[in-house]
Amino acid sequence: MLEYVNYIFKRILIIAGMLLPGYLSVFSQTCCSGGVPLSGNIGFEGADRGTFQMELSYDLNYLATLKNGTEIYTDESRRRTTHSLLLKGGYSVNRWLAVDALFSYVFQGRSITYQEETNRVSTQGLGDAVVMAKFVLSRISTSGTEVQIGVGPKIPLGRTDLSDDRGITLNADLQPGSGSWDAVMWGYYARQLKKRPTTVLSARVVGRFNGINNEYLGTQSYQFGHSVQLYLGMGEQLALANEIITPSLSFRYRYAAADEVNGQLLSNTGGQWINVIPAISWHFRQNSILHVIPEIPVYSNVEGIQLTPTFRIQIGIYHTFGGKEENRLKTYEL
Amino acid sequence: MKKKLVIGILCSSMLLWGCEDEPSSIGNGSGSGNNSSWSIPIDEVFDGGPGKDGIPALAEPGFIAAGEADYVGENDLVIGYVAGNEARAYPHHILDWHEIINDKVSGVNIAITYCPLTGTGIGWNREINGKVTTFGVSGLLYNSNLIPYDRESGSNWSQIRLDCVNGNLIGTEIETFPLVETTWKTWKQMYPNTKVVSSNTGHNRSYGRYPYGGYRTTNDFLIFPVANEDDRLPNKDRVHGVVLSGGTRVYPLTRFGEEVTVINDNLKGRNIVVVGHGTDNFVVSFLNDAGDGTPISFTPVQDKYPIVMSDDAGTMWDVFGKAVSGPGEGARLTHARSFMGYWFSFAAFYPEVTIYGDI
Repeated sequence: MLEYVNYIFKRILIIAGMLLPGYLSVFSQTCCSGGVPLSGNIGFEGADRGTFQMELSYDLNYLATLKNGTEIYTDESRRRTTHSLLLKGGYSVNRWLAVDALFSYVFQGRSITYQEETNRVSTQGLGDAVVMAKFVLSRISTSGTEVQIGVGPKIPLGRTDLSDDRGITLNADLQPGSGSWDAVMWGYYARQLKKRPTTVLSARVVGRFNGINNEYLGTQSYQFGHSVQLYLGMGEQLALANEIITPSLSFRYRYAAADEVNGQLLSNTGGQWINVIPAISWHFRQNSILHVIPEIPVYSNVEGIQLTPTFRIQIGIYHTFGGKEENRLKTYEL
Repeated sequence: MKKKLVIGILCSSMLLWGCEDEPSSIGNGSGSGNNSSWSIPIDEVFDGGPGKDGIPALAEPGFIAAGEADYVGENDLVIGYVAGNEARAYPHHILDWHEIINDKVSGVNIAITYCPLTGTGIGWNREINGKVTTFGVSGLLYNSNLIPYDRESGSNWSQIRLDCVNGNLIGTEIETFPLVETTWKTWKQMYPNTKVVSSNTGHNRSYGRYPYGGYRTTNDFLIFPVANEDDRLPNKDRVHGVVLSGGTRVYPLTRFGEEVTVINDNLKGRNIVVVGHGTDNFVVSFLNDAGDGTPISFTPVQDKYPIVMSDDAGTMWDVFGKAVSGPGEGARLTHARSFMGYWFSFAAFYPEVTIYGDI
């Protein structure tokens, strides 16, 4: 029995390692794409009843590219960074149903250099959270094909009224929360190649339909633009020097509509982005994976003029816990 | 052990790298000098988004001849200033992206301050308490209006209030210079030898594109809160406001017709003369005092730009209130503290504002 459980764990981990890069992404809430990566990070693979999956990640989004449409403006005076700590958990209620949740803590910074003097402003705080119910229609560990759909709310836990050290309220771009309840819809498809089971092809779509923060700056309403993301990726599991390594390559397309203030479209928000994601996962323990996921913009067409991502990287540790007591102990001892 | 080391190094290096450019505290102020108090409600001051100097003010930019300015259309708005024999035009196309142009014209240190959100263009004297300074964009807004800061003292100023609201110079009023906001076509008719700011500013911007979408034509669209809203006029109607101690009155551009019109008016006991042309798109105003408390009687002059009016003695006056010919040649009317802007901005700053024609 124990061998069977270990076999299942290994399968989950191997597949997770191959799929993880496909799950990880950006979700911008802001005009400069500097928002907290929430809905793009939600969603684990299907697992046995009682399995608990957990992941702790650090995500850096570095924005120093000023663009007007597709044109890059030469401007090295400004930078924008978002550091996010992401804690994600998932529990498989049964083989068909699972619940995932994602919580965030956010550090955001903005710096402008003018005539060798740099002005910096930063904020930090608990960010918004996402809870999602997933329906596992097919599992890759049993059929070679994974099909999941999920839906859930984005819960506005983060503050939207943070101010600088003078007491001046900062704008939406630097707030850890969006102040609105949003709907996240998620679909996932993955398939092992029959002739090469160590290779997995995956596709994922995430839609976010945003509500309205009616308390923006006290009296205004603010609505971040709805967005859709599409991922296409391929992962290959390799055994190198007695270690299981999974390199993968994914592409992410993201479309975001313009934000609205008081029901009016806000200029210089929204656009389209395509990023390439060359990632690697290392199965450093039986139940654990370390992943490093850089993300490189290859194309973007922003509305108006915007500071847009220059580089992004995420590092995280993923772990599974079994549904049975002896398995949990076994896991903790590792 | 080796695995733990690798994982530890990876995690630590990511955190250290990610935080290397971050300040250790939240915010760092904006260099407002030693006085941190504000004369305006701090909870009505908002961060506009780009940050301090995120909108880069220009300093003594290059100028080109009118005929070379192919980036400015005939009906595009410019702000004009004349000192000595020099006439200069500062197009909205440039000001929309930079908001402040620090310039020196015939020895006059002037800052053209312009707020795209309130549509207000005001000429500020850069010499304050005997020191010449330059102004930058603080990135802050009060009543949706630009808050410039002066680089000499670091103090923050309110553009429409016309005074320092934070910093060592708090309470100091700014001296203003008369400007003429009009179309490029009209300005060239007035001053054919004008120079205009070159689009080669050293910054990479789309000077032909308005950066705020439908903002200037959508009356219901205010991005930031204002203290007082007033529906007597549509929010984005362009008006000429005269701001005197004790009273403010606006003169809507739409109430000027297809020829030069002169309005001799009295605001809170002060005689003022307002002259404008609806089609040619300008309104200016001056204090009207002959020296003995009696107003000069002005009549409009047509088709003789920059001359726009004459008095009973036959003196001809130009659009900057200068007597350019006749018995009073060389005299100059006192510039009323006045400027063009969107109606909502005057209502926000001066709730008691009256509208010419409604009283």
